[in-house]
Amino acid sequence: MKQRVLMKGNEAIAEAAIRAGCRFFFGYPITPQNELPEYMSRRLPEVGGTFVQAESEVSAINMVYGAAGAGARVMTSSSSPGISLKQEGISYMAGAQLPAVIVNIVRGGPGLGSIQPGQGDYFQSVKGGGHGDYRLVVLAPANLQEAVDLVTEAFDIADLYRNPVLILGDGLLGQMMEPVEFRQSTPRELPAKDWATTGLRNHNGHKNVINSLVLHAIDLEAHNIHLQEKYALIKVAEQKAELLHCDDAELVVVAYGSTARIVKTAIAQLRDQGHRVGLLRPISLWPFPEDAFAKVMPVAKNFLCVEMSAGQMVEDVKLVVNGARPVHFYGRMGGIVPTPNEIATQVLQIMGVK
Amino acid sequence: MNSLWHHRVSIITGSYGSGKTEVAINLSLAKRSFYGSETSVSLIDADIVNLYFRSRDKFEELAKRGIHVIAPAGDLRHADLPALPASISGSLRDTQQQVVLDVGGDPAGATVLGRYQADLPEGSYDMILVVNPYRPYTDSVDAMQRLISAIESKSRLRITALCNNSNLMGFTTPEDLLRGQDLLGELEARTGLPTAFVSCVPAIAPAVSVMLPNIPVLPLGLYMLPPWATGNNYAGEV
Repeated sequence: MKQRVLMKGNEAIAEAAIRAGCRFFFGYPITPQNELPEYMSRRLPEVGGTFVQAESEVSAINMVYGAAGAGARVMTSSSSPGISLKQEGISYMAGAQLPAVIVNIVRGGPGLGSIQPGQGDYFQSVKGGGHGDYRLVVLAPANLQEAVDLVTEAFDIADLYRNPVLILGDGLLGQMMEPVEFRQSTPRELPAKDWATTGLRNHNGHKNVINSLVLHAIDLEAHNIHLQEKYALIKVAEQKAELLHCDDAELVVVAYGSTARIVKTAIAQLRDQGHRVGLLRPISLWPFPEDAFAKVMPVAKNFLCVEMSAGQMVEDVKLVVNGARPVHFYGRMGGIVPTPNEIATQVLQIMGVK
Repeated sequence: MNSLWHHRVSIITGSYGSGKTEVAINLSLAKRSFYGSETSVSLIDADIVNLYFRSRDKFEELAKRGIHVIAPAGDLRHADLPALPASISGSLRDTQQQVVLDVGGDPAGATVLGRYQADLPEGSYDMILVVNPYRPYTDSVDAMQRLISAIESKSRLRITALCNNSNLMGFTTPEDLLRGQDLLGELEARTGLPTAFVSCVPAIAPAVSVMLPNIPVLPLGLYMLPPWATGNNYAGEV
C-alpha cells in the first residue's frame, strides 16, 4: 500500500494531532465536525491517550485548560456555536499562557445558523472572541495535506509561545476527502515545560501555579505587557501566506481556506484568457500576513477580497493596504459557496473587461 | 438481469468515505440505461450520518436523467436529523421498481436498514459492501471482516457481495485497484463473499478491465465534486 491515505478533513486533522503527540481530547458533538471527536474516541485509546466527551463545550475547554496546565499536548474541536461557548475558557487559557490546539470547523451563522460551510467566524477568531487583551495564533488550511501539516506545526507553535493556537477550517474542509501523507516534520526546538503543574517531586519544593487571576493592577498590567511583547514576537515570526501568479498581477484576489481554492480555479480560467490576476492566500490569519502584501503592492492596482461571509477579513486587508489601492469585496453567506464563475465575473468587472 | 446486479434492490453499504454515494448514483444510472422507460428506477438516499456530498444534492440532475431520488423533503433535506420519508418502504415493496439504496456509512449509518428488514426478505436483494483499502479502518482484511459483522448486526441484513472501490481520488492508478483486489480476494476466501464489480473513473476503466478480466467494471462518472473542481480535475488548482 502507498503511504498516502484517503481521509476526510476531520479525520485527517485528528490523526495529525495524534502524530504530533496529542494524547488528550475533550469535546462535545456538533455538526459538521463530528468525525473529529469520533475518530479521536476510536484512535486515542489505541495509543494510550484519553478521550472524554464532556457534558458541554464549557466543560470541554476547561478540561483542555487542566490538561494543558499539566503539560500535556491537548486538543478540542467544535463548530461555530460550540466555539462561542468555549470563549471564556479560551480567554482564561490565553491569560494563563496555556498551549493547546483548538479546531473550529465553521458553519453558517449567526446563532444556530446552518450546517453548511461558512467563514463568518473570522472576527471571533482573530479579534478576540473572548474577553480581554489576548491573541490566538490562527491558521487556516486550504487543503487536507496543508491541514495535516499545520496541525502538526500548531502544537509546536503553541508550546513555543505558551499560547493557544486555533485551526480555522470550514464545513467543506471538514467533510471533503483527499489523499494525505503523514510525513515526518522537523520539530522546532521547544523550551521545557518547567511551568507545568506536574507535582512537587522534581521542583525542589517550588510550586507552579496555573492562574489568570492577577488582582493587583500593577501586576496585571505587567502581565499584559508581557503578553503583548509575546504577541509582537509572534507577529514577526509566524506570518504565513501563499502567493500565486502575483509577480505580474494587476488584480490580486485575497481569500483563505476553501474559498481560496475556488478562487484558484477562477484565476486559472482568467489567466487562460490573458488576464493578469493573482492570489494572495493568508494561511496565518493572525498574525495577518502583512509582509506578503508588501510584496504584491508594487504591481497590484486593485485588491478583491472574497469570503464566505458579509466581509470580515476585508477589514484587515484594508488596514494593510491603508488606502493605497482600492479594496473590493465579494461574499456569499448562509452556507452558499461561491462558484469559480461568480468570482471570475467580479474580477472582470473590476478590471473593466466587458 | 445484468452482471452488476442479481436482484431488483441493490443496497450500497460500507464505511463512510468508501465511495458509496458515487457507486450508488452510477449503479442507478446503469440500471436506468439497462431497463426500458416503463421501468421506474429509484435511488433512495437513506444517509442520515453524513451531511455533505449526499445523493439528494444531485436531485434535480438525476431527475433529468430519469432517476427518482427519494430523500427527506423541504427543510429536512438540509438537516442532520434521523428522519426518512415513508415512500422508502413503498419503493422497496413495489416489485415493478428497480431500487438502489444509498445507506449512511459505518455500522451507525447501516442501523437505518434494520427498520426495513421486513421489506427485505433474504434472497430479495443484493447488499454490496463498498471497500476502499486506502481508507483508515478498512486497510486490512481483518478490519474489513470486523466492518462486515458490525454492519450485518446493525442492519439485520446479510452482505451478499463486495465492490472494489480502491482509490486515492485523482491519484488512483489501475495498480491500486489490483492491490485492493488482492485484499478482497483474501476476504472472499475467508467469508465467501464474491466481488460483484470494480468501480473506477472511466479514464482507467479499460486498463482495469485488462488487469482484472473476470470482474465487471462499473465506470464512475463523478457527481460529488467540490466547488473548485473543473471537469475531471478533482483537486482544481492545488
